[in-house]
Amino acid sequence: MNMEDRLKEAFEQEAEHLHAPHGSADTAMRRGRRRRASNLIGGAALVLTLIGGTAAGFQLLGTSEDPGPNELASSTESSQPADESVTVTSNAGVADFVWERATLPKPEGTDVWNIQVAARDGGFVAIGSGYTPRSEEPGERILVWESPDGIEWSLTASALPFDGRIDTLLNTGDGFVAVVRSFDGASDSTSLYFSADGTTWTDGSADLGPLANNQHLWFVGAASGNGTTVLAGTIQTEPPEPPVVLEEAGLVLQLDHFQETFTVSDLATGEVITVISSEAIYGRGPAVYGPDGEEIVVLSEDVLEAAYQAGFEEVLVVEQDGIRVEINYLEHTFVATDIASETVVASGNEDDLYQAPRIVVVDPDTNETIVDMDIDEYYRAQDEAYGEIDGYFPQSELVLLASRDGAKWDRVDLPNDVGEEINVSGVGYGPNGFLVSVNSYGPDRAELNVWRSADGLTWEPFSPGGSNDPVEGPIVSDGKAYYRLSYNNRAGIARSSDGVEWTVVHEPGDRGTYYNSLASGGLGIVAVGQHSEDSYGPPLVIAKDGRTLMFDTENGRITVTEDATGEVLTTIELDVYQLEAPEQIIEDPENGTITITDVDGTVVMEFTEDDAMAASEQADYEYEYLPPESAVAFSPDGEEWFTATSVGLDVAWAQNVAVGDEAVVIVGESAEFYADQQYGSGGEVTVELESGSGYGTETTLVDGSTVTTTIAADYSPTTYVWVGRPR
Amino acid sequence: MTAEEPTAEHVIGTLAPRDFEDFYRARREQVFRGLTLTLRDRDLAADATDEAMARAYQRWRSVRSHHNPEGWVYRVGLNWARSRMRRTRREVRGFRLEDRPAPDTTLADPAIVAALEALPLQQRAVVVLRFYFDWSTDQVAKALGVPSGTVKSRLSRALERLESQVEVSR
Repeated sequence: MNMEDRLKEAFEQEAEHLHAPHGSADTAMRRGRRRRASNLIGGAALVLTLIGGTAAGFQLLGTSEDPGPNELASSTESSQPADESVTVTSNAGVADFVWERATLPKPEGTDVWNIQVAARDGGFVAIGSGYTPRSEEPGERILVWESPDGIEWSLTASALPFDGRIDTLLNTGDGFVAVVRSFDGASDSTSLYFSADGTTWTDGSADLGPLANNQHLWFVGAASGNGTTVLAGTIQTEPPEPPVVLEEAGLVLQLDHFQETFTVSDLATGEVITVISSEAIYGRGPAVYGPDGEEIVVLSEDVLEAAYQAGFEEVLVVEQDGIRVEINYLEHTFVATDIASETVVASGNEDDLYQAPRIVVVDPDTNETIVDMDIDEYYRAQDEAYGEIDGYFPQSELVLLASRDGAKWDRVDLPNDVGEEINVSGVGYGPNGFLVSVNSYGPDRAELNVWRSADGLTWEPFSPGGSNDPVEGPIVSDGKAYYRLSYNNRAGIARSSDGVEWTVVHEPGDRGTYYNSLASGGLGIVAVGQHSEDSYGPPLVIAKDGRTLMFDTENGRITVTEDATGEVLTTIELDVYQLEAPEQIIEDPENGTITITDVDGTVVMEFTEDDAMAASEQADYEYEYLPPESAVAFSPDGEEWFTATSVGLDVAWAQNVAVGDEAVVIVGESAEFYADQQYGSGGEVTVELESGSGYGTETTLVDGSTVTTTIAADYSPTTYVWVGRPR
Repeated sequence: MTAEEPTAEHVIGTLAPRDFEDFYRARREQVFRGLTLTLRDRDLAADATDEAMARAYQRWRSVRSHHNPEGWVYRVGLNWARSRMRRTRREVRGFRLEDRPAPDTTLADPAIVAALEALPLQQRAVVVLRFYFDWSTDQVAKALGVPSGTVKSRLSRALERLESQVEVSR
C-alpha cells in the first residue's frame, strides 16, 4: 500500500471515533463562545494543559465541596453573594410531569424554523419563519399557530413575505420582534418588525448607521415591560488583516478579504497609490511555460477537477487548448504535448507547473513599477506582519434599542465602556426594571456586567458582585425576582430579587446536565436542557512506577493511589477559578515533567508531559458518542426547585419554551435525530452544476446559473412541540 | 412590509438562513473531523469549528457563493486555532497511539500517526485536505488561500517526510 492510501486509511480509522459535540447551529455557536470564555478565565487551564487539556474539564471543574447527586436536597451554598430575601431549596425532589409530543401543521413543501412560542390568553401562540422552495415567493413568511392546550395546533396566519430574509425572531414576553435583512446588491440593511400577536406586524425604523463589509449586526434578546420593548445585540467587527510593510520600497500592502483587494499605500504619507485584485497575490492554477517563460496553457480548475474525478493511478492526464499535460505524481515530473503534432512542447519537474506569479504593482499615475517581488518574499513579509499581532478576534459593540410603539426604535448608549470583546448574554424585565447582562472578555478572564433601566432608555451599571461567571441565555422574571441560567462551576439556575446579587438556586444532580432554555409563566419557572452521560468522557489515567493517577474531569478531582495496597496517597481538588496550579502540582517546563506531592510536600508521583498526553489521548479514544436525553427543572414559586420527570419527553435541543397556567410547551429537535444519525452521516448532498457550489434545494446564482441540490429526507431534524403538565 | 420583484441576489439573500442550516448540518462533522486530524486536539477543533461556523453564518451570503464554503470554514477554523494557540501558548500536540496500552483493531496505523504528528501544521493541513477531504490540489489551494504551487510543494515535502519517518520507524 502506498503512502497516500495509508494516509487515507489512517484518517478514516481515526475519524470514525470523532464526533462533533451535538447541537443546533445556534447552540453550537453559543457553546463555542462560552467555552472560549471558560478557557480564558480558567487558571485551571494551566493544570489541564499539563494533565491533557480536556475542554469539558475547563468548563465545569468542581469545587472542593462538590456534592454528589443525593446531597443536593438542601439549601445551596454559593460562591456568589447571597440573596437573603428567600430561602431556596435547590432540589426538593422530583416533580411528576406528563409529556406529549405534537407537531405544528405547515403548508405543503414549506420549511419552517426559528420557532418562538408564548403563552397567550390561556393558550399558546407560536410563530416561525417559513420558506417554500420552488415557490414564486421572493422571501419568507411568518407562520402563526395557535393552540388552546399546546397539543392541538392550528395554522392561523401565513403573513406576506418580508422583503428580505428573516434573520431572527425574538420573543419579548409581550410580543415578537422580527429582524429582517435585505440586500440591495451592494450592501446589507436591517429592518425591524414588531407584533403583539404574531399576525399583524409593525414596520419599525431604527438608525443603526451603515455597516461595513466586515461588520455584522446580531440581535440576541428582547424584553418588554413598562410600556417599552428593549432589543439587545452586538455589532461585530472583524479586524483587518495586518498590513504588510515593505520598508525598502516604502510601501504598505493591505489585504481586504471581503473586497478581495490589495490596497497599496505610501508608507510615509499613507496615501493610497493603487488598489489591485488579491488574485494578483493568490495566483491561479498550474500552467505550462515555454523555454522563454512564455505561457503555453493555463490549466483551468474545471478541467483539472474533471481529471481528478475521473481517477488516475500515477499519471494525471489533462487536455486543454490542444495541449495534453501528463503529470506523474510518483516521479514528480510532467510532460506537455501538442496533441495535433504529438510534439513535446515542455517537460520538467511538476513544481515547474506551479510557478506563483510575481507580484507586480504599477503606479497608475507614473506607470512606474513600484512592487516587483516573488511570492516567497511576500510571504516572508506577511509572516512578519502576523508576528506583530496577538490573536485574531472580532471586536464587538453593544447595540441596545428601545421602542414604545414598535415603530420607532431609539439606540441607547450604556454609561460606561463594556470592552471590545463582548457578547450580550441576556435581557429581561422584572421587579427592578430592565436588565441587560453582558459578558466582557479580556486576556485573562471574562466577567459578567449587568445594567439596569427603569424605562429602557436610561441605564445604570450594577456591580457584578465580583462574578466572573459568564452566562448565556435569557433573563426571565416571575414578578418577584429575576432568573437566569448559570454556568458557575456547573450548569444551574440563578435567582436575584434586584438583578445585582445572584444566588444559585438550582443545580442538577450531575455534571452531565445543563440547561439552555428558561421561561416563566403561570405554572412557575421552567428550565429545559439536556443530559449526556458522556459529557466529560472517561477519567484520565496515568499508571507509572506502581502508582496510578486518576483525573476525573467530572468533578475535577485528582487522586494518586498505591497500586499494591490501594492506599490513596493524595487527593487534589481543582477549581476553575484557581488562577495558579495547586501547590501539589509542580511543573518543570524545561524537562517536560510534572510532579505531584501530598499536602506535606512529599513527592507521590512524577510523570512526563508525554505521559499526560498519552492518557488524554486514551481518554479521547474511549470517549463514546451517546445521544442526549432531556432534562427539565421546575419551580412553582422560584423558591422550591424540582427535577421534572421526562418520560415521553425526547427533546434534544430546546429552541424555545413557554409556560402557561396549566402546561409547559417546548419547541425543539427530537433526540431521535441524534440517535439515528450523527452529523454529516445521514445526508447526501449532490450538487449538479458545472462550476461553483451551493447548498439548498434550488438556488439561482448571481450569474444566472442554477444550482440544484438533492437533500435526503432525513437530512435535518424535525421540529416538534412537547407539552408537559404536572400530574 | 413591501414585496418587490425578486432578483437573483434577493433569492440568495432570502435563502440564507435555511441554506446555512443545511450547510451546517451537512458539513460541520466533516470540518470538525478535518480540523481534529490537523490540529490533533479534539477540543480545540470543536471550538474552532464552532467559531468558524459562527463566522460563516455572519457572512453567509458571501461564504455560500464561495467556490468551497467548507474549505472557507476549515481555513477560518484553522486560523482561529492558530491564533488561539499563540494566545494561550499552547502547543499542538499529536496523538501518541504507540503509548496506548492495548492495541485495537480500529486504531490507525501508529507509524503513520506518529509521522503525521511530526509534520509542521501547514503541511499537515495540506495532507488532511488532500487525503482525508479528498480534494484536488487546486481545491486545497483555494481552501487555504495559497497558490497551488505552495500546496504542491507542501504536499511533496510532507509525503517525503512521512515516507522517511515511516521507514525509520520500521
